[in-house]
Amino acid sequence: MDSILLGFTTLMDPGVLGFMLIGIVAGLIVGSIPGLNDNIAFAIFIPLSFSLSPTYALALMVGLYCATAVGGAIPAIMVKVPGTASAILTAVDGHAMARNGRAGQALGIAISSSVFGGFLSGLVLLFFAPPMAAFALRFGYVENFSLGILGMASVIGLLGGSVVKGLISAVFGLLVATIGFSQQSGYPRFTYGLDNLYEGVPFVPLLVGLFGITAVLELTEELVHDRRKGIKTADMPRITDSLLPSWSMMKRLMPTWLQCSAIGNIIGIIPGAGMLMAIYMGYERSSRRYKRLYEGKPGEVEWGKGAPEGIAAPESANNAVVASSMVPLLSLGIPGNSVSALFIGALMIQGMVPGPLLFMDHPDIAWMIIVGFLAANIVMGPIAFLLVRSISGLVFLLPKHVLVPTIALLCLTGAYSDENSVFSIVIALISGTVGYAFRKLDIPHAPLILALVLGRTIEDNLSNTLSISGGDWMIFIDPVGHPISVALMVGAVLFMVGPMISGARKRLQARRQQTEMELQNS
Amino acid sequence: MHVVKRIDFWSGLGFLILGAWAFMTARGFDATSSTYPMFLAAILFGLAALLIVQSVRDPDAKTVHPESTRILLLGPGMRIVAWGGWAVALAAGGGYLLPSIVVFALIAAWVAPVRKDWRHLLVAVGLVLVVFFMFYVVFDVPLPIVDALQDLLD
Amino acid sequence: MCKTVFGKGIVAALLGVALVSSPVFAADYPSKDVRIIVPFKPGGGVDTTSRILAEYGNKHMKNAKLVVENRAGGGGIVGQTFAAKAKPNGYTVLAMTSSVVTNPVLKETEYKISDFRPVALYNMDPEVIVVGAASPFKTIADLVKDAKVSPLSVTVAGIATSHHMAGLALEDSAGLKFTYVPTKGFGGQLQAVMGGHVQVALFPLGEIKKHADAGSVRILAVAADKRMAILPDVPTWQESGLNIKRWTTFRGWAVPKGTPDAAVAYLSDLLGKVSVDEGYIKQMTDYGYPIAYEDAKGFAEVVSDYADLTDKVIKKHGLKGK
Repeated sequence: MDSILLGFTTLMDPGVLGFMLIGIVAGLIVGSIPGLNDNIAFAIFIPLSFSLSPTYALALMVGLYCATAVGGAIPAIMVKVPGTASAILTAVDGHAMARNGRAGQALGIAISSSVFGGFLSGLVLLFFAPPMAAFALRFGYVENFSLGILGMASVIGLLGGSVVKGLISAVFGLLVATIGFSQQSGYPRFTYGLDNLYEGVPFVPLLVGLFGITAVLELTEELVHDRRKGIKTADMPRITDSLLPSWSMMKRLMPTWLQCSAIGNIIGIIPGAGMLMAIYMGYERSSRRYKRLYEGKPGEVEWGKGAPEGIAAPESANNAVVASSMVPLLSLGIPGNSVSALFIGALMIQGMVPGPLLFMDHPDIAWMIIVGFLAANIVMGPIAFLLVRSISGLVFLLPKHVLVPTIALLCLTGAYSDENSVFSIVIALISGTVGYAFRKLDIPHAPLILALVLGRTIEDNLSNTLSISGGDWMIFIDPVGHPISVALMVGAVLFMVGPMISGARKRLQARRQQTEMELQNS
Repeated sequence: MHVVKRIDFWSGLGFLILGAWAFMTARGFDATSSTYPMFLAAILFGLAALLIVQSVRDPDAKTVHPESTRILLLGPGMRIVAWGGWAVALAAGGGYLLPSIVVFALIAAWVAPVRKDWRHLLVAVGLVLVVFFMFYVVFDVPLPIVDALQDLLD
Repeated sequence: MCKTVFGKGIVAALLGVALVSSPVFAADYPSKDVRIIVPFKPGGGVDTTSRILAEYGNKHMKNAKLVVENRAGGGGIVGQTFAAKAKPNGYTVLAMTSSVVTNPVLKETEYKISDFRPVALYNMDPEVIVVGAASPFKTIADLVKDAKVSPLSVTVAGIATSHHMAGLALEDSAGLKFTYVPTKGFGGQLQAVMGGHVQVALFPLGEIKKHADAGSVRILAVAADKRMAILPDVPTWQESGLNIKRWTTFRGWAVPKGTPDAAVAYLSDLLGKVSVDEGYIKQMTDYGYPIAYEDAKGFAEVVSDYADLTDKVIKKHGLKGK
């Protein structure tokens, strides 16, 4: 308790709070500009942290890290272009809701869900970091492979139409993920001598292409279509309604928030699992729940056409990952993801090392970071509600035919900045084209993106497991040695079987109704 | 029975070729790293074949529409070409500003309500400068600069 | 830091403002900023040590500054190639690591090691054998005994890296048996050895020192010539009967071939000055990076020693072409 107080007193310094505020505002802005993300923002703050005191620099980074995911939801809802990868699913229901004239509600739900998810994971970081870190350490090659399988299985529930197309999308993604060095032998696969592909297809430009450029191409299609038909293109949605979600809406979203925050927290503490997996898993669970409880009821839209849960799920999941990804970093010194790895750099410049030693040598800083995540989420809510009107208003400064190329230029320049190379631009263009082609061919995106995220995890952990176990496959379902893996595998099977059973039940019900009707008629 | 007009038939064929090509390429990798991609490529091939069969059998399959194809080529198609050309100009040492302004102005004018309007160029210059400022100055990204200008800066 | 960049941006924005600069190598070197090309993304060991160096180096520079520029990709190859092809005018410096030596041998790179001129070395990181805190191996002797009987699983940061080669060299010289479990980067390795998912890990000292201090892992032996002052109780590999005198990765500066001698001498001296700066020494040791300094000549020897050592392993184990 003393240590928590120490963290609070450090944080209460007006300078520290000020820098946290700067971080939050900067994060909201950076997140809301497609093509810019927290990685690039952090990269400029790391050298800056030389001249700042460590508490200031870290407060700034905490604020920034918490806020970018919220900022990313703004263009996702207003323009259907996610500002960051974390808002990739928010764009679906969020933009649909905005087009229904409820842009304010959509933004309000996004912000409140983010704050809730972020706050909850801040609490986890504050009170449960040591036991959670011990849990994270139990994830070895066996468990990580099973986790990857679980992630891939979760996508089955999201397949609407053709199962074959969903599987094609997944396998295509897994195949793309094999590009680059084989971790097992070092052999460069499908690289054709291109140095830039050695480490695999660079991930940031790949994602920027898939969500940014694909969206730009869709907007272009709309523009050209309207132009040829002589229709005046529909305006971008405006905020006409209240931003604050009503009390009954909050009560309704509470189960979704809790469920998705829990998923985000668990995925977040496991090093290497990643934010996108948490978002998709939360989204899948919520879609299942929404279809059971609300779909078809009066006043409720179809899933994907503006359901409040469709915004709440990804937004609470992504912010729940933020603070919990700091659990392995602060307690063990193991970076949870690429952004928390940048925290190492910032600490290192100050001569500090994340991990248990940080709590011994610099308890004030260690606890300030932890308390900071909690504080940042509390402060972020009001700031976001204040800023969101002006940020989303910016969209209307530009007419649509100018806005679309601006977004394209931002995305492509952002892709360039990832490795400072034109090659990254080409990757973004190609992946954007592929993403757009998938849309046109009715091939779902979700399996592709999850496969790209998890492909390497699955292959590398599988081969590492097999080389340790001497080729024994049963190790994945060994209840004594690897109980977590068994649980994950059972979960994966349930994910796969669930939709099949509910589908069968629906068909059975339909048939029963039909026979009843026939009986009545006869 | 216009199989050739069906979208799924063509995407199936595309993935079939991709799967076969990936399989053949992966065969050339060393033994430890080839099994997994070969396995994936084979599955992709099989799924693609299944998709083709489905599209042939399905009487209500979605077909290609000439007008939407035209829009596809004129809109997104042209954009990809334009930005691709921009990337080539950047790589060839054309700097960042000039290619960006040209491509931006062309694209904006193409879908604008009034095409021939000198203001498109003005808007392009303004916005490209804003983006350039943001990345080059604020975010310290070493964007490509024309060699002559770089020497001048040095 | 934004001042110069800001200035540059303004100038670039206002096309056509003439600035006078002489293309000939001048006595007033450095008259403009020297960029240190870091072939990795921000946040890693090379990036951070380069930034610390730049910070302290700038204290000794008058008219110009050291500026870190990240050119990541291809496991370092993209940035290394970029630096090799840069104008040899003394204003482009590569943050050189051991991989510059092995990459051209192992992979098809566009540069050769001879395309670079070593400037100076600032850090030597000896390889260490590490086990988790809960490992049954209390001493290196325990480990050697078991490793001679049946293979131990050992995690290394990637196949054909210096760390993997260290393991292969141990197999050759001491008769140990290892099963390699490659991971991407040091974070994954740490997770595996701390969680007991592998038996052993091979690390460069700088990446693991602080975790050993915290008690989450144990360092059993270090591949340095003699016992290190910061690890008085840890035997060297030679003392442990492993028959390898030294196995270290290094960090230093290199410039493209053809860079004028005066520039190399200036930069080499600069690193020398920084390496005795108290603030710099404190910051590097705080993090656990052993400080070393070799001038251009000494660094060249280190590089060629390392090339000989690794060449042997690469040839013997057929790592080439992978």
